[in-house]
Amino acid sequence: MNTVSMDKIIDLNASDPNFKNEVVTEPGGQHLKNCFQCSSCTLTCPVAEVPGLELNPRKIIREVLLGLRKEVLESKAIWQCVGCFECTDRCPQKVRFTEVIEALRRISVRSSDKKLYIFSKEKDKNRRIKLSKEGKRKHSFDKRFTESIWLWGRTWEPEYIGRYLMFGRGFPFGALIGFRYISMILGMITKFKIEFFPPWVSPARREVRKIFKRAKSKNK
Amino acid sequence: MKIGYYPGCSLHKLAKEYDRSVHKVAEKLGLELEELKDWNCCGAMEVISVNPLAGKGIVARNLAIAEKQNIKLLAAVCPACSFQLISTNYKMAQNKIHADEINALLDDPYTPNSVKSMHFLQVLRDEIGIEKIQEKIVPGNPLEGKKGVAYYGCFCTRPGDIIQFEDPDNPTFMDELIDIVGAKSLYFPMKTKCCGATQLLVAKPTVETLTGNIIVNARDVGAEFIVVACQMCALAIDGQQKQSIKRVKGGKFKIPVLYISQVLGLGMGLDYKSLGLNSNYVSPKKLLQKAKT
Repeated sequence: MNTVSMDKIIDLNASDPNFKNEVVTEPGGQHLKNCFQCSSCTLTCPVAEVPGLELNPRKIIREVLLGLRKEVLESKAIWQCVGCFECTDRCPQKVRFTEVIEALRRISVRSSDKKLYIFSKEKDKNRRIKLSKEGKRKHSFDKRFTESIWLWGRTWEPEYIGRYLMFGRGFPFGALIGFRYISMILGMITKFKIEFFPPWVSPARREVRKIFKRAKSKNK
Repeated sequence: MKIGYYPGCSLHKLAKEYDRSVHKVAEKLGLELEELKDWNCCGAMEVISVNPLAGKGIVARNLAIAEKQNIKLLAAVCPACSFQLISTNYKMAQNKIHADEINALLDDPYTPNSVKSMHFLQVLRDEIGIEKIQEKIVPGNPLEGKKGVAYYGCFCTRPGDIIQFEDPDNPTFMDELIDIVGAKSLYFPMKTKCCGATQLLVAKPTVETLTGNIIVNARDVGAEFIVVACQMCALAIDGQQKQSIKRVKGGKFKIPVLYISQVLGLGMGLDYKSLGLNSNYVSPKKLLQKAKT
């Protein structure tokens, strides 16, 4: 468990009081203001128990309510959630924290300085933040997964995983991360679990692209 | 009995043994699985986090196809797929404005609540019933007398208000299935703890810690095999087993991971190859051989 540092004094003059409203209007964040800080979410969170990680759902909600926009959106913690819905299930106030954190991730990417956000709203020009390293990784994975669906209608694992491992963390040296997965990949190859040909389902692909296009034009 | 079947992307190759064994078990139980024509990916948790509207749109397309094919009951074997199908239907039924917004993306609109989608486990419980499964079990199968634990993972039961399948804190149906096969299900405290497989390619150390705790705990309660109902859990627990145990310093051991359909298939007397047991990462050969002698 990580300890909360008590020596930092929060400067509320520098906070953004409208940040909570920004999260509430984002799909998934509707119930944010119900939170009464009982800490059920943090106590059931499996990631919070892993040493070295910073995720603390209760703290994130409090920071959002206080309006610490920069601190929340630039933190590693919002990217460490594995999306297991334990907190959503246990919450007595039905805050649905898993959806809140997805909303926070979207806001974070949208207002980051990187050109990462595809298939959706345009970026906020002002109030930019710097996306954390974890955020870039997770978003680049999500993006490549989505691109795979756009390309084939279904996901084609070798294509998007290969692309993620190659380019997800910076091209020449980031690709070395692939060696960590080598035993899993070799296992897949020896058990004939890798699909060598793309899923060729043209009507589905065409319609999926249409859905993405319509959703994109709607968001603008 | 005829029901709709949504395989999902990973079932075709990445978890082909799950797909194959589900078909075999369904055949034995007299279930006819009708695959959705021209289905697309459900988007798992990733598309939702990039663009929520498009994420729901592509799920609603699958539901619309099922409605067009006159399918009343749609079974998905991947828990992430079944969660997306159930939750999109639930959200469209609850909020009509939202439903219209999603339907505007589709060519053929979907009427909320016209298709009931559920996980394959729920089909076994609600549509077939445990007595009928018990009739098909043959005595003297290789799993008889073995000790196993049921591992549910996240999406089979959670979030409880949307999935509405079992008690999210202590689900018991998979334990019952293990028991009727002849094996003994053990008390397993980590039954519903997450294995973190959604972050497998992004934050490997986290996933290894979470998974390692589950595997070591299963060994500690005395299990000889782990039963899962999710191909992502299998990928994390089975495919990454060695590294995960190493990460939490759990010692040196191997524990076979079986899908619930493979367990039922073994109980019904189906053979090793037809259930795809040779495709599991940790070979269950040793576990099944001991029983024969």
